[in-house]
Amino acid sequence: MQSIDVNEALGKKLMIVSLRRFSVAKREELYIRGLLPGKMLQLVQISPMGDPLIIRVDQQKFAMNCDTWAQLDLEEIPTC
Amino acid sequence: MLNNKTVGIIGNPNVGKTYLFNRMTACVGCVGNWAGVTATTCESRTCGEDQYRLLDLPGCYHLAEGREIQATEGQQEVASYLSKRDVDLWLNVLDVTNLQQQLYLTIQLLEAGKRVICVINRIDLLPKVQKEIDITELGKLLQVPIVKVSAKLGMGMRDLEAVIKSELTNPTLDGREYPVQYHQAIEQLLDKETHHGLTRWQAWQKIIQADNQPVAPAWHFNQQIAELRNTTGTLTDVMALTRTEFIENCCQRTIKEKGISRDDRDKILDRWFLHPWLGLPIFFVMMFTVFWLSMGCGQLLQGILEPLLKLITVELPTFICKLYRLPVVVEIVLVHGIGISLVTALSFFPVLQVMFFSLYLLEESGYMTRAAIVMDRIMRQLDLPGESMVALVLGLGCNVPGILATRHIPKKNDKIVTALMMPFMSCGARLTIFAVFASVFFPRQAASVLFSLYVLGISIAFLTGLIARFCGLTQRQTSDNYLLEIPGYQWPSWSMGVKQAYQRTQRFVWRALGVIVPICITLALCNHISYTGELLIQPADNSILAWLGKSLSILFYPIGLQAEHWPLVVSLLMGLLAKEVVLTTLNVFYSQMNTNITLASSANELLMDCLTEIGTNISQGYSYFIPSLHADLPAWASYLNPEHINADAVMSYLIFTLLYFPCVSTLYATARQTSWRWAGISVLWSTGIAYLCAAGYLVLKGYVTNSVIELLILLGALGVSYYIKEQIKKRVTEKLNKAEGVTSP
Ligand SMILES: Nc1nc2c(ncn2[C@@H]2O[C@H](COP(=O)(O)OP(=O)(O)O)[C@@H](O)[C@H]2O)c(=O)[nH]1
Ligand SMILES: [Mg+2]
Repeated sequence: MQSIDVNEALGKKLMIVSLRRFSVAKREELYIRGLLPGKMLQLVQISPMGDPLIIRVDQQKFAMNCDTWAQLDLEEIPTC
Repeated sequence: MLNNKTVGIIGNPNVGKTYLFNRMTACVGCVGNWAGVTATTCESRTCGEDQYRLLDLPGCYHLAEGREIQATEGQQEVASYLSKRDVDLWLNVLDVTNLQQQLYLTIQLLEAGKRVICVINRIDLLPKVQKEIDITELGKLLQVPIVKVSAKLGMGMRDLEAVIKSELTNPTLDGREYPVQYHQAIEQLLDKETHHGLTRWQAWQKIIQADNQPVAPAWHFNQQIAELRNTTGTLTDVMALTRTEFIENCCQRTIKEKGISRDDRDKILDRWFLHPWLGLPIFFVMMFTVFWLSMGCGQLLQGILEPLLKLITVELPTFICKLYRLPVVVEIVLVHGIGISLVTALSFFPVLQVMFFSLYLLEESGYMTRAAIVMDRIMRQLDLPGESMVALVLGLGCNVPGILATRHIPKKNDKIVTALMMPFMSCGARLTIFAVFASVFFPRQAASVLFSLYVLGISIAFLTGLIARFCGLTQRQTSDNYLLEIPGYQWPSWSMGVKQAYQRTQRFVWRALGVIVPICITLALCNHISYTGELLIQPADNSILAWLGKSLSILFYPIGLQAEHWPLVVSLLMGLLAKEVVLTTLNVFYSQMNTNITLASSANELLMDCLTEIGTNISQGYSYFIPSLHADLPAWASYLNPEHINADAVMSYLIFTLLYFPCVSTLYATARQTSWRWAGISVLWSTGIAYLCAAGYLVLKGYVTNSVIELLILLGALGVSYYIKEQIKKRVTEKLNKAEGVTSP
């Protein structure tokens, strides 16, 4: 499973497949924030300097670093 | 009856804990510590006839289980309170907009066997987010009492009081079961541990700890557990996932979504504030506006306040002293010591007040988070968070609010580094000094001199940041999870802002007085006692301070000041107090006339003078809002001519003024936000750098090239700064080693 390029993912709905590339402690933190395997994630916006990415999970928006993004295993969902 | 009970408020960051705290303690106010580093927990008694202690803890998302050290400072504080026995009841504040994420902490509290009341806050938002929450059902599922409130509007506070009272008087803890059921095999494991007298929480701690050890515990070979571990990962994953599943289930059963919440406004605002090209300019425009408004309004208010203050604390006492022929010492201490220090400290009041209010607006509206996001990438070059940029920009107005704004920075070390960078951000007071000197010595290039001084200051600030990173003071691991919650936009409550700004300013000013008064009295005495021990009616060139200035001018030889420039040296000494005093001091010495103390014939006259001054200040109020480089030249400026002092020496004096020791109030603010030791380091560092730069400028200019003393002093300064750097490095590596030793699993 690969992470998805930021520019390609912009605006699309993605599914979180797994978080296995994070350490256990980080994984727990992500679970709590609602980033669970199977959840939908949307890359809403890229901030001015290109780094923190604005994502949305459920109704909540987060700013996330590109490094963190690169560790996520995501899968694109074809929009109907 | 409830007097010896303690209730703690706990919850995720930004759910309204502090609002609730303020609401419940309304008649007392927050008497505990303000948000600093050492003590982030506020404590106070509630109002009403049954008073109990209420604690406002810092926010945290969860507690790390099975680890000795919690990841963030907030978690550490919360964990230490949880392990202490003396909190009788926990109010777990939840926020309607994002329950899912917050119930995790609730579950951890329940498993830890704590008595909990869930307080669902922000119910005023329910219609907007199109939700409905069935609290009786949720209460049954979690087996805790639940109350709905709106801390901001004060809804539901009665119910909350009643529930707290009944919980405190008759405990209903017995016979409660834990809400979350784990996998059968894990339940067996937990049961085995709890039989030995541990709580479920402690049992989990033990299991997780064993699970993370390199040596596999016996139960890893249990077939069911092995299977679980194969499919899900570690037991931490199993635990967290079971809990989140339970929470999801709870939410599905109790929260009814009545429609899709509309956040068009947020979307549009975010599109602009985080726009690829416009994001940065908007940030700077916002910052400039805050800065400009607070300086303008602040100075306008100051123009009204200062004459009044001067009348009360300086002129009237002088008048009275003269009238009753009190000893001169009394007058010196009373007027030049206490009076002037009151004026110095209190004249910060309006600027700080307006600055705090603007900060509150930025914070409450939700722009602060966006600013941090926009600046994140730039500040990452220094391994600092985006918030520190906000603080630094504010520091350009006045260093004190800049340093106080570092309280938004989550990590302690980042706060320290930002505070170390702050003195180099040239403040408004220094601008006036530069403006006067520049218009006398460099009338043609005044603007470019000012500009280059600012740029020099900012570059040195960033250099400081780089050095700090080099020393390992700031660190951001690549694996550092940067997952910042972005709150929605909202209208700030004005009255709350005024109240908060007032409280913060007032606390700061009163405490700062404790530092400023002794220093002021010392300086005043030095200024009014001659080195032969006689008392001087007015500062003259045989006072201790002047004598000090003359002797110290040797030290300042490398930066171009000769013995005959001793007033400049004295002005630097006086500048320790506040940079505003530099010009006043020069005034006193160069014009040899007594400025503050013009002997009035009657109290009436004093009052009239004061009123006229206020009048002119108000009528000229608009000028504070128009940035201008033009300075009204004081009368003594003519004495400061190129024959008296060389233009290069003036430039190096200005560089020194820009960079050296900020001022007592900034020092005090630094100490409050970090510690006195770091404040000391800040003083040494900034003064050392100032000396190096000023001397270096002259060397570059070829002014005093082949002087041996010069070189020696330069080398000495270099050595000292190297030593300081090494010290910092040593301490930091020690600290890091300590931290690593414990966190490694
Ligand atoms: N709409 C609404 N907003 C609230 C309420 N209580 C708090 N807030 C907002 O929540 C934000 C965070 O509040 P604060 O007390 O600082 O949160 P803390 O971090 O938990 O201490 C503030 O911007 C408040 O305006 C409420 O009852 N209703
Ligand atoms: Mg708070």
